[in-house]
Amino acid sequence: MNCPVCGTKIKPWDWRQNCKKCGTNLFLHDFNNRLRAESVQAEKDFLWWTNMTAQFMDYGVRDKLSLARMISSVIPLIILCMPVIAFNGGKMIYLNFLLDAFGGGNFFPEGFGLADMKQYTYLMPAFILLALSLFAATLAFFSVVVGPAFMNFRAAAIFELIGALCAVVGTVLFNFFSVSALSAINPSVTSSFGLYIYCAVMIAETVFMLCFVPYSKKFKALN
Amino acid sequence: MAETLRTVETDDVNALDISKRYVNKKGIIAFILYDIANSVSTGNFERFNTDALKLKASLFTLANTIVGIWDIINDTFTGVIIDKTRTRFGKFRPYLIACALPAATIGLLKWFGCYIFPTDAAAEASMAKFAFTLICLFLSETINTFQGVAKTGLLATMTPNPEERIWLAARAAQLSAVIDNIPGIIINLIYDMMIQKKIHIGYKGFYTSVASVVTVVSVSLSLYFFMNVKERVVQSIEKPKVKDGFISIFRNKPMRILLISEFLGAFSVSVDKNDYFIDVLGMSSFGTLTEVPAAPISVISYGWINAMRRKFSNKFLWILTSHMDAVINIVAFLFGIIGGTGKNGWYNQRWKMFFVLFPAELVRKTFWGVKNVIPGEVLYESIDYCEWKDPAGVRNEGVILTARGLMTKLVSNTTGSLKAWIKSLFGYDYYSSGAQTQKVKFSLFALSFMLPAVMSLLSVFPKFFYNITPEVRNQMYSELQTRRELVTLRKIDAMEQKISEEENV
Repeated sequence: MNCPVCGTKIKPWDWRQNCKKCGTNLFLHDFNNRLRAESVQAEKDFLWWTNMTAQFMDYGVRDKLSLARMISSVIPLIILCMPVIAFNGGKMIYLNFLLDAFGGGNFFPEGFGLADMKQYTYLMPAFILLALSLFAATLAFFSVVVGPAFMNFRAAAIFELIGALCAVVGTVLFNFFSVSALSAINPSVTSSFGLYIYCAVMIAETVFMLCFVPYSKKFKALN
Repeated sequence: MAETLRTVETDDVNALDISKRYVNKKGIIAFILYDIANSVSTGNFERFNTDALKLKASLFTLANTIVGIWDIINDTFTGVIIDKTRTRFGKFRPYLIACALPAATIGLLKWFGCYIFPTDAAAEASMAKFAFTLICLFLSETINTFQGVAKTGLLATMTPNPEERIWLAARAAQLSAVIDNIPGIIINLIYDMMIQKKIHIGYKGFYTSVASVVTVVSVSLSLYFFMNVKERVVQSIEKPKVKDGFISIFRNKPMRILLISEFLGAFSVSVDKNDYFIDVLGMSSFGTLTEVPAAPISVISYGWINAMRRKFSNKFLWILTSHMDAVINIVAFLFGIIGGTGKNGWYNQRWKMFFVLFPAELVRKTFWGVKNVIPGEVLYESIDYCEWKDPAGVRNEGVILTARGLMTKLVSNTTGSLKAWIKSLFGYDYYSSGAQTQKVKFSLFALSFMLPAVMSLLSVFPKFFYNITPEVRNQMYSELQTRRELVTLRKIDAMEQKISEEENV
């Protein structure tokens, strides 16, 4: 950097406020004009943010249909937090990963993190399926939330498709998890609410995918 | 030349618009990343001592006590040094870069101590290890104080537009809320797997790896922040006198109220809610269980800060969010005592308390954004108020910020030991492994909910006298903007006059 008045070279490690040759205050020199110039650039940069949020609001939460689409993306995540209930000769047992994670459920009274997993090796395949379904459902949610923020139609459409696929895959995996976990705990379990939950989510996902069609077209028109 | 400058700028004095934005895209990204990096911790040093360094507990406590005293002492001069700093980068920015590399070196040295010194039982009381730990903690504390004041001061001066400042603080806190828990969760997961022997990493390797990664990321982001952020509020050319800083605090009502309120708030003593969750509900993660479903709301809540600010003043939101927890605690207590104070009381029953505390968390998280942003803004506008009322427009952020910390630390260090005393007062049995008597259980419940609520009320009264109303705020910023421009010009004039006089001589 050089002094803006006398042109003396200022070394990077010379942090003094004034130029050692002419005494110009380097911090204050042309301060107001510099602020104005920075403001012009900052206003332009802020437009990027404003456009992104405006587009998100327009595409994501403007009317009832777009809200339904957004809500349907959260359904797989909510479903994962619900207990899977099964009947075993009139006795009801339930499985809820959220409670088990914190030590309030039926399977890991001490909490998932503190449990001695050697005792629960028979549950491992089920919990791997759960982890995969949780990952897929989270990806589905973020795809739908992030997608509208992209200006480009193709990028938004790809995100939306990934989201829809992840939601369906997550739901199928979750169903496998519930069946696998319940039969591992008690082989005599014959019926499970997990199946009904699976059907409900599939219907929700169909709505979700149907919502995608008109909105992607509308989005294309906007672009 | 000075005359030309004056003519051009005074004609154009209204062109610097208070409602305009001044921080560009890189500045916004740098600030958000720096905020996230700051909220990621290298880990619990006390746990590190137990697991890896293995310095005798009494010596470790002694080192921490000495550093605690030093923490109070260094507050008395840190602010003064910062206030007297004048560089071509401004007043706060240099400390970010000057502290980044020493902080990284000391930080790494502190964690790598387990490789430098022997960690067997014979070396537990090693004086060399004690001296090393003490020096590392001492230097870390000093650097952290400088960095902390510089960061807060920089946010106060990054932009002259107060609305942009709130927007920046909100976006940084919002993104931090999403991201900053993730490293902690990963680290805890690795730690759990390590102690269960599922992965074979030694304690030393674990702690030093985490410290190295966090330090490298933190230093890189500090440097990126330093390069992309500027101070945009003018400081006086003359270095302020120490007494002026203190006079400024006591002369200006909002600052006085802020300090008194924080001082009284520091007296807030309570029994940890975790004790209630463990000893009464028998579940240490009960608090987390009630918080997890409400967590997404805390992220979304940053979106309605502006809507709330349009309806309510900063003063109202400050009072509301500072004392909302007290109201929630009282309501939870009243629900908890349904069924009596004995065995049948709701406070003994996990599910009933879940349905009491879960909605309470929902309400708390709804105001989470406002709670994390508005108290900071109240502080910044109080600092600006001091500048506004000062005839020479002198700002004393350093002294103000350290005085604030000093008063709070003085009280909290004294009251810190009261928790154990309160617990022993109602007969808490430390060796009962969770089997407390019913009377103790109710006392735990009452003191963890009602005591903080009652103590918090102490600090509510001064807040009612806070006098920066929306009208005063508007007038203050409008006048400050014009004055800052003119002050800048006068400073340039005076300086150039001085230079020409020197040249003539």
